[in-house]
Amino acid sequence: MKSFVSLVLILLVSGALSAQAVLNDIRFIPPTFFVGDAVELRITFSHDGPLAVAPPDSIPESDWVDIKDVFLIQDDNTVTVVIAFTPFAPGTRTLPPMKLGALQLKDIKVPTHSIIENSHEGVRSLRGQLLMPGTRLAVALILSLAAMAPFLGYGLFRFSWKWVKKSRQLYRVGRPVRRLRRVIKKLKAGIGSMQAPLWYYELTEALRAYLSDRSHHDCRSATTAEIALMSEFLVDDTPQKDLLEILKEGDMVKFAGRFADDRSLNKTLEMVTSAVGKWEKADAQLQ
Amino acid sequence: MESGNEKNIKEAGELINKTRQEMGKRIVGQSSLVDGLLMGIIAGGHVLVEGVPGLAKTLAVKALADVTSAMFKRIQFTPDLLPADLTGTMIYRQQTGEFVPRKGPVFSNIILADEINRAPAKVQSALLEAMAEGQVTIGEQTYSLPDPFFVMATQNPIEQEGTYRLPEAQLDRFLLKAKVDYPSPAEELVVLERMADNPDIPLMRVLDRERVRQLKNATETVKAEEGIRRYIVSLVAASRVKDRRKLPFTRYIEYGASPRATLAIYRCARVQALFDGRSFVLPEDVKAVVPMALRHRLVLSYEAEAEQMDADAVISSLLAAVSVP
Repeated sequence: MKSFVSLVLILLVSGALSAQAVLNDIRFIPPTFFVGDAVELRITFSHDGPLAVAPPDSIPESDWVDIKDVFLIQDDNTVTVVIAFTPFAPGTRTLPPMKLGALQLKDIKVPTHSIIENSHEGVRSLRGQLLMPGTRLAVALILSLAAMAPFLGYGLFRFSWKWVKKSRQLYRVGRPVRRLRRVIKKLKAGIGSMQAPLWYYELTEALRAYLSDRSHHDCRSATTAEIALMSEFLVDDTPQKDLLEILKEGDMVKFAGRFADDRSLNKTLEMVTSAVGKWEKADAQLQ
Repeated sequence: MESGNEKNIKEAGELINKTRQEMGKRIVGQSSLVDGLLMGIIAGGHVLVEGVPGLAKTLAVKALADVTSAMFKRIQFTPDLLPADLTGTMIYRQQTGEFVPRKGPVFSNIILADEINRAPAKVQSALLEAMAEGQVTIGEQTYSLPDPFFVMATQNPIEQEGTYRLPEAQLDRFLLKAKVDYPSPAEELVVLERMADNPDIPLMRVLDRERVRQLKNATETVKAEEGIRRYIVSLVAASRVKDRRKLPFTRYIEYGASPRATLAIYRCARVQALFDGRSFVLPEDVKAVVPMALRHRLVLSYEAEAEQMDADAVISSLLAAVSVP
């Protein structure tokens, strides 16, 4: 396309000049330009005799181009016409004719490019807003998280619930022994100041509550003889049997008036502590 | 070294065991009935026995009379029985021309009031009055009843037509109510082998008036500590609780047990301890006697009837609701 333009230009210029001027070169600087760019067009002629050329009296005007300057660069055999202009319309258009003394320029085609590739299409619709780098990734992550939120929430809830249940179960499992140990502590402090039957009433009540929780039989309303018939208490050399012996001893002190001194009360507490410790350990191993 | 009291208790326990063994020669199984009878006579109360016919109720009382060397009378209660038939009346003696008292069958040591609910209320009242006061008035003269005086009244739980149900106030006068159930097949086989050819097995007299008094005295020495007394009161009080949320089983009870029940449990528990040769009452003694002492004293509600709960089931719930000391 460019060569075609150049060829036409050469022919036109050649026809307008005298026989001594020959078109040597025609060059756009920059070679490819767009609407609004500042462009220089340099047309170089060679001549073998004197050539009467001069800048135009007035710079021609056109609605698609703003010709800023036209000047000549001459030496002995060549003359270069420099036209500085800024095109405002895309496509190939013709510069207005110019008279440069004996030289007349006309039909000079100027191929102006456009950043709009297809000039036949209408104006494109507005593009979307430009996003910061990583915005899409962030949005995708947020959306994914939002989509997974119910599942994550459910999982978190289940984990928390299991944890709470486990903690509560551990607390409950340990509650009977904690309660009994509190009573043992109180009774230890009460040795010497409490009467033996009253001391045993408190101990056996706490012990019955502990046995109820641990054996899952109702030992609170069961007599010692009834407890002795429960399956857990039938085996010899077990903590259960030791605790049963303490209940029997308690009955004798409470109801038969058997004497119990501080030493025997201390011994009883040691037996209770030891038996309960063994039972708890055995239970923990089972779990 | 044994103290005098311990020795008396031990001897009493042995005597009771011997009596049990002797009665056991004639009564196969039915240990609760035999114990109930002994408990009644030792505690100085009277016993109501409920069971279908043919379960050795009469035989048990006869056996008790035989081992006790006591005067025994059986009174068959019928709708036409009169109070005078029971207590006695004034009769005219033609030779002297004066009225003399003729004592009725109630003047005996051991009385079997058979099917007491078949007699009218006035006859029941006459007997129950004699039981409560230990004396009978004939004409203008009041006569004390012999010692020991022990009544065993029977009731038939079936054939309720034409019977006069004992009022609650009169039921309360019985120290305890024993229930007689069918023997096990093994026990029934023993009954067959033992009684088929020789139903009148001779028994040795191991108890007399003096020995019964000894047993009563021994019972009075049996200790019931404060914890036991509180436990008995808690049990009876629990039967009167009206808060169903606190004690759910109370919805089955219309009226709870009276303070007379508290006394009955206390007396029976001491005898129960004596049965085991102990000089002190344990909670198991109390629990052992509570069903016998309370089952005729609880007035069950309509809800209990609707749910087919009997007194024993309610008493089980009661025992499970009260903590043992």
